[in-house]
Amino acid sequence: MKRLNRLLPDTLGGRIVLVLLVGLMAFHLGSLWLHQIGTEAMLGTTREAQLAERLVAAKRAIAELPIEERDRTAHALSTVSLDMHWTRAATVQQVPDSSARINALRSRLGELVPEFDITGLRLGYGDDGMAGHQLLGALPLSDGSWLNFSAALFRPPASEHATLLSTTAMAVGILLLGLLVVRLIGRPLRALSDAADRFGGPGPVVPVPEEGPREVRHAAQAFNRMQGRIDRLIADRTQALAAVSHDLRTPIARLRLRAGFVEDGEAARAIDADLDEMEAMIDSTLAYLRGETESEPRKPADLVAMIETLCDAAADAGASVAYAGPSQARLVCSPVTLKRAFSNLIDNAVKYGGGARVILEDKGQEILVRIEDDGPGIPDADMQAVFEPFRRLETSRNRGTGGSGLGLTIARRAVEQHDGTVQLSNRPAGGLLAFVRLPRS
Amino acid sequence: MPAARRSTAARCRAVTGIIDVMAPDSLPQEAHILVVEDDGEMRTLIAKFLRQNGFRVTGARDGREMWEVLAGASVDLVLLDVMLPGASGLDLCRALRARSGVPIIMVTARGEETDRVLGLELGADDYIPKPFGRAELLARVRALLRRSRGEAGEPIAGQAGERILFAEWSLDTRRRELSAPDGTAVDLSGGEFDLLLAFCEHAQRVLSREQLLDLARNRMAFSGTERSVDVMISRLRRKLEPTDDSPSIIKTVRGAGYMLVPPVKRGA
Repeated sequence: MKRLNRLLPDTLGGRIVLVLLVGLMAFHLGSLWLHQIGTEAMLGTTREAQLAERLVAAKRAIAELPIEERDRTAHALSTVSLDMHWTRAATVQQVPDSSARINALRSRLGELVPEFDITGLRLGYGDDGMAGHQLLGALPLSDGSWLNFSAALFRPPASEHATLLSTTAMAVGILLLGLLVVRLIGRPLRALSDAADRFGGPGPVVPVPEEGPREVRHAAQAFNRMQGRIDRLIADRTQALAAVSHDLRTPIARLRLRAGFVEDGEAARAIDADLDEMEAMIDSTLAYLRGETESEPRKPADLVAMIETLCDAAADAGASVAYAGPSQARLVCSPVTLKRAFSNLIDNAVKYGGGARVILEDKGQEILVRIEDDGPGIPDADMQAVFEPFRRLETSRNRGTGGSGLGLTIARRAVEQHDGTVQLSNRPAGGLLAFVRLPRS
Repeated sequence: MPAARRSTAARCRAVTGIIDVMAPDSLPQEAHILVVEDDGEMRTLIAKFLRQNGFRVTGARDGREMWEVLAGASVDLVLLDVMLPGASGLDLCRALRARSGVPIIMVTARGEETDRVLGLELGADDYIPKPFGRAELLARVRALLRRSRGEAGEPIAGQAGERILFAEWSLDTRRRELSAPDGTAVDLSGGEFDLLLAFCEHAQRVLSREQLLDLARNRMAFSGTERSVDVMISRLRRKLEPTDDSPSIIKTVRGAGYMLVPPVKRGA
């Protein structure tokens, strides 16, 4: 079954064409065969009857003639298809083990022409290298002499090349026509699957054109309705989340000012730190939601300057962060989006790995950025899970470190918007490596 | 300049965020600030906070109240929220700028890039993203008041032109963006931008570390020391002179300070 599956064409169109082709070919070959059999049988019968009649007539004519004129007359009665001559003794010997075909022929000759006396008739094949095409025979006359004959009995071989050629041409024609038709039928289906692929990706929701056969049209309508429902649902949720995040800023702004009137300086500082954290969460949530809908224009920017700003800021905040690499790396990108990605990756390394080494390599076709830390790393099983939104690995990481759980999600989406990739791996020497590849397309 | 220098220590503490040790404002007379904010609680808190720091404050709920206050009293600075019912903060900003040269700080939602750029284009002198820290608010108010009073001979940002050109580099003061001669955007930290702007406003003049610190502070909440000026200049240089054969942009003048080498042009 598996082998059969592999032999089957993969596409619906291919399968339809295959079924069409096999069916038509079977029908075509079958009718061709039947036609040939019928023609052959009819031709054979006609020929055999003709042969028998001519032999009977020749036998009667020659038997009436005097002996000296018999051979001359036999020659005179000969044609291309039947050569006759008269002898006193038979030139054809009785073959003891005569083949079934000869026997069948002998009895058929007798049946076809009732007055044809087949007693004593000797039949055999000519020794011309083409056994079965030249029939030799001897017919006894009443006085014991013989009428010998040789006949081109069977039809010359049919021109099978022409049959094969016409069959092939027809098959190719059917195949091409079938492909064309099936492509036309399959187009709305392909449009549907393309739309399903695009759905959920970047860009606005595009309805599938509702065309083609009824089944496909219904599928397209159902798909469009589903797309609309999902889109509305996501839009509603996004709006709700954005509204809550946005509205939280006013109470945070008030709290920030209120903290200024707290007598206890220590408490004021603690409140400020909490508010910083809340604000960072709201910022990243809004950045995440904004990334769904907005796209920043592209322009050439220096990645090194961007990374240096981030490293300097982290170093100023007391973290151990260092940059290594060239002094410039120009890339056409969306700078704010990409800076946020690097910022999140460096923050992650600082927060969980105690510091970061950022190494940039300019490979011409692409820019590689490695962000390494010396922290505990991530269990291999969780390497993909950490990219999911609002996902935090609390089992291995300190809950007190906070964060929104969106950092890596935002980073990966930003890099993917630039056709790049982010990969996380545990370094052999310990610690986590975030490997960013940005193509310069 | 003497006034600014006198208050250096006080501001240095102020921007670290410890309010209880803040010295009263050292400006010669009590400045009058108009806070336009529709959220009553927020308006009260801003007013209370600014009063505590030695300013005279009047609150206004919307555009109508703002015009009423402006008609009746002289105002030194307007703190204008973008999100207002009725006429939006941006509309008010444009109308206000058309009538007077009063310094304006726009309060924008954090992350709303367009509001910020639009606000500055419509004539606001500075912006502050909401929610803001107390130190940041105070530093921006003080810096703008100081600039508007012409201390250190500085022009006000609103009048400074949008683009500053030097040695084919371009500094966009509204978007706070630096572009290299080949058009590549070069990222700057807030402090680096303010320092570079200070250099550009005093091009081809030797500036001491102390002067640079003061100039940068007038721009925003720059919480540095003279030593951090050295660090920041080395970072700026790394970005402005990335390779060994890059032309010299910032020169060290031994014993005196630093100088921006190329001449500066202002463009649209």
